[in-house]
Amino acid sequence: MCPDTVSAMSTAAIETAGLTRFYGETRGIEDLDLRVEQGEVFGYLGPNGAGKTTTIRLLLDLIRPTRGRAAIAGLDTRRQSLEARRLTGYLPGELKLPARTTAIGLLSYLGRLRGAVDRQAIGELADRLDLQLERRIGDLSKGNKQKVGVIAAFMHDPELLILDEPTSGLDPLRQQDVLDLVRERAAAGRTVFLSSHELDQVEHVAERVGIVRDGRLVAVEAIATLKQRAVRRVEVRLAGSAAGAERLRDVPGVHDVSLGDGVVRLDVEGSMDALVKELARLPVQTLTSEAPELDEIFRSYYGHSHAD
Amino acid sequence: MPTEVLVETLRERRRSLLWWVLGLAALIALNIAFYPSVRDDEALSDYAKDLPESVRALFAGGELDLTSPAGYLNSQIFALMAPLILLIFTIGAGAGAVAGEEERGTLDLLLAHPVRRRDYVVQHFLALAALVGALTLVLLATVALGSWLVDLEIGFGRLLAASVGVGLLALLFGAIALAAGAIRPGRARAIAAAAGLAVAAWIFDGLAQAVDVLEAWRPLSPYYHALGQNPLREGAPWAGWAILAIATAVFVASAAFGLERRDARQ
Repeated sequence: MCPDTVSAMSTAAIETAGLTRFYGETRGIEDLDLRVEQGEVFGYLGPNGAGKTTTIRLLLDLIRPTRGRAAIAGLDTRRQSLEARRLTGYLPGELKLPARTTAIGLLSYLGRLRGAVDRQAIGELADRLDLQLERRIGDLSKGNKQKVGVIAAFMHDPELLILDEPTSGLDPLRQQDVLDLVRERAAAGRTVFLSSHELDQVEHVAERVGIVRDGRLVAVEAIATLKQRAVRRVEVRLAGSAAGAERLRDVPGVHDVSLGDGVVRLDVEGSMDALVKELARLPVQTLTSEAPELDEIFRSYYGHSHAD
Repeated sequence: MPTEVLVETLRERRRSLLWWVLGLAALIALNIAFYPSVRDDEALSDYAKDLPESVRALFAGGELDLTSPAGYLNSQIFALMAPLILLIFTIGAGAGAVAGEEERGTLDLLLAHPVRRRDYVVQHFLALAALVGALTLVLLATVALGSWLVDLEIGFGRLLAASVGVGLLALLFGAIALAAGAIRPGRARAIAAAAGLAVAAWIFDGLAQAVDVLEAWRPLSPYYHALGQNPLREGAPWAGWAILAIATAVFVASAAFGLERRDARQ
C-alpha cells in the first residue's frame, strides 16, 4: 500500500476541533468536535436555530470561528479554504438566487467559477429533477429554485456534498429524487453532510447522525440506534369494547397510555412489534402513528442519561 | 487572475448600460443643441459675472463668460451634469457589487464557490472600470460630435482631458462605495457614504475657490484633481489624475481586504 493511500484513509472528510462561533453574546456553536468519514452519509440534526447552519457556514469559510478549527479532507477551512471549497458542493439552507438570469445561465456561471462543468451533467440532473433550464429564475416557483440549487451543488460531482435542509420547499416526490441522488453519490464513494430538523428526512439515507441543540453537539449515533430510541405517538380508535386495553400499559416500550371514549393514546419507543401483537387482540378500527419528533427523540435519548 | 466574475458582471449590466448610454448622450445632445441660440446672448454672457464666486465655481466651473465655448461646456456639462450622472452610475454599481449581492442573499452561494474574496472584489472593480470607460467614451464622443455640428470650437485634447477627469472622479467614488459595502454590510449605507463624500468634495472645492483660508486645502478634494483645475482650458492635470488613481487603488485594496476578513452575511 503506497503512503498516499494510507493518508487518504486516515483523513476525515470533515473534522472539527473545538469549533466555536459566538454572535456577540449569542452562541452559534460551541466546542464542536466532529469527525465525518470519507464516503459516509452523515445527518446533522437539530431544531431550527440549534447551530446547524452556523456549522455549515464555518466549514465553507463564509463566517469565521471565534475559536477552534475545521478541516475538509485535511484542508484547513481558513488557510486552505479555496482548495477545500473546490472539493465541495454546497446547497444553502436559505437559498437565494439572482432573479434576472436563466437557470442555465446561472449554472453555467457557477460552473465556470469551478473551472469547467460538463454541460451534459447539468442537463441530466435537470431531466431527473424535471427542471426547465431555459426559464428565468425569477419566474420559477420556490421548489424549482431549490432544484437549481440542488443542481449547483451536484453538477461537478464533488468529493463532499454539504446540503443544508436540501429537501425543504420540495414536494414529497422531488424530495425522494434528491434523496436518491444523495444515495447514488454515497454509493459512488462521495461524502454527504446533510442537515435537517426532521429525522424522517435523513433516516433513510444517513448512516450516522449528530444531534445539535442550543449550539452543542449532544449525541452522535448510528441511525439504527437512534431509531430504537425514537418515540412514536400512536392513536388507536377501537370499534368495540375497550376491555383489555389496560394490558397495553404492560407492553415493553410503551409509555403514557391514556384511555377514553374508545380511543387509546400512547407513546411507543423503538420497535412497534410487541405493541402491534398486543393490539391484535383488540377490535381496532383505525391506527395512526406520527413520525417521531426530533425533540422527543432527544428527550428520550437524554431521559436515560440525565435524571429528569 | 480569474475573470469569470468580471465577464459575468459585464454580461449582467450590458442592457442597463445601454440605457445609461442613451440617457447620457441624449442629455448632452440636448444641452449642446441650445448653444447656437445662446451664443450671441449678451445677457447670458454677463450673467455669470454677477454670481458669487463660490456659486460660479460650483455650477459653472468658475467660468465668467457662459457663451464662450469652454464656458458653455463647463457650465452645462462638465462642472456638474456629467459628473453627476457618472457618479450616480458608479456609486450604485459599486455599492451593488458586494453589499447589494449580500442584501439579495446571493453572495453566500457565490463565495461558497472556489473564488477568492479579494479576486471577487477586484473583478467587480475592473468591471466597473470598463463600464465607466464606456460611459466616458460616450461623453467624449457626444460632446465632440455635438460641438462640431453646432460650430462650438473646442480642442479635442481639452475635451478628452475633461472627459477623463469625469471618468476618474466617478471611478474613485465607485471604489469608495465598493469599499464601504465590502468592509461592512449594507447597500444603503455604502451609497450614503460615497454620495455624501462626493457632494462634500464638490461643495468644498467650490467654497475653497471663494474663501481664501480654504484655498490652500483644495487638493484635499478629489473634485479639484479631476475638474477643479479647468482641464477644458488648461488641459490634462496629470498629477491630479495620478492622485485620483492612487486613491482609487487604496479604496479597492481596502475593499478586498475588508471582505476577506469579515463574515459574509446570509
